Amino acid sequence: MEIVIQRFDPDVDTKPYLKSYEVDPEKFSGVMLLDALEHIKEQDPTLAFRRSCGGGVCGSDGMSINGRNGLACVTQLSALPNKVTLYPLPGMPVIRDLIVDLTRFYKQYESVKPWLVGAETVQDTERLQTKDERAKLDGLYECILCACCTTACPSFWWNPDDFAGPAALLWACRFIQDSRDVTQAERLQALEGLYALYRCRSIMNCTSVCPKSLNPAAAISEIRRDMVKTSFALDPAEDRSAVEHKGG
Amino acid sequence: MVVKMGCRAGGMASWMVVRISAVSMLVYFFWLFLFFFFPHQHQEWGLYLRSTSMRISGGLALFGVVIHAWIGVWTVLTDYIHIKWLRTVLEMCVGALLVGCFIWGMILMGG
Ligand code: SF4
Ligand code: SF4
Ligand code: FES
Repeated sequence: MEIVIQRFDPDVDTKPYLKSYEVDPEKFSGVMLLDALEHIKEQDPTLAFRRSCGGGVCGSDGMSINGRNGLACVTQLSALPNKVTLYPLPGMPVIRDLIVDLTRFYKQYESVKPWLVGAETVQDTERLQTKDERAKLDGLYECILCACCTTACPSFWWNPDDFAGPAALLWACRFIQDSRDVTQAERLQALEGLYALYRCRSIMNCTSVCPKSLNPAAAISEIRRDMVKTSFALDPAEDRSAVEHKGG
Repeated sequence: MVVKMGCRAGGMASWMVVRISAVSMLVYFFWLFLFFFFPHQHQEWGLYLRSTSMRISGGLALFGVVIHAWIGVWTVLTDYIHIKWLRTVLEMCVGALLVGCFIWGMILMGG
């Protein structure tokens, strides 16, 4: 099969260019696209891409595979056509070949305070959750921050500094939903502006590409619902800062 | 400033305005089409459309159209036009057009 890769080395090249590699899947072990890339790298050590776990856990090998963002390590060669074209994740500055600079992505992630803010009171026991409270985090906590969703989102391409992007918003939702977090009101307030949350136009690219089958678009709707509820105090019990914690 | 006109109230407010105006348009036009669907004389149409309730709901629906269009166009312009002066000029054109449409519509319905 033929694998065409966008190459760019800032020390040598003025412009990115496409380079084609012929690979025979019989000649290397492994059935994933990442295995083919490793095989190519053995022939051409100048090729640069990120990888770590090799099993869809670390989120480092996100790339555009025939125009669709995905992880090379969980993309089966047998599911791909005979010609595969690989580009770095779209909309991000390219450092080299398939490696992009994810600073903006991480900045947006940081902007939603992706950590638990517990009650001020010190407890000498765990902060427990009921089964239902814990279940609310399913589909949210599994994100591996591969950036496939955010770099597939047109709203993020146009407003990368102002729109938080699907991954960061999924994380925002994860902490807004957490019964142990006491800053739900502040978290919602921080997203009320014109851009951070509301630039999402429900294009759904995020949900369609997520290699972990998560649904950032649904998480975004969830935040919007929570915001309307708290603004109109439809569900005051939701205001957890006022609720005593059940953990103790 | 023109740039944030109509959207100053923040993301949630404009998001809700878009939805509420969409529903108001839907209800109004559905009602209107329902009326048009059954054959009526020209005179009956005239009487019906000049009734106070139709004038008020028509005015509200028109306002819905204008505000809905403004928020939508404003969003598209901020996405795609990053040259500030050009965006401001386009926003002023669209704003003037929409205000013009509103005034014209109100005159038609009032007359
Ligand atoms: S939501 Fe999915 S696509 Fe987006 S960063 Fe997390 S794992 Fe990757
Ligand atoms: S649903 Fe929202 S966040 Fe997801 S790709 Fe579309 S605009 Fe981006
Ligand atoms: S190498 Fe870790 S997710 Fe692909």
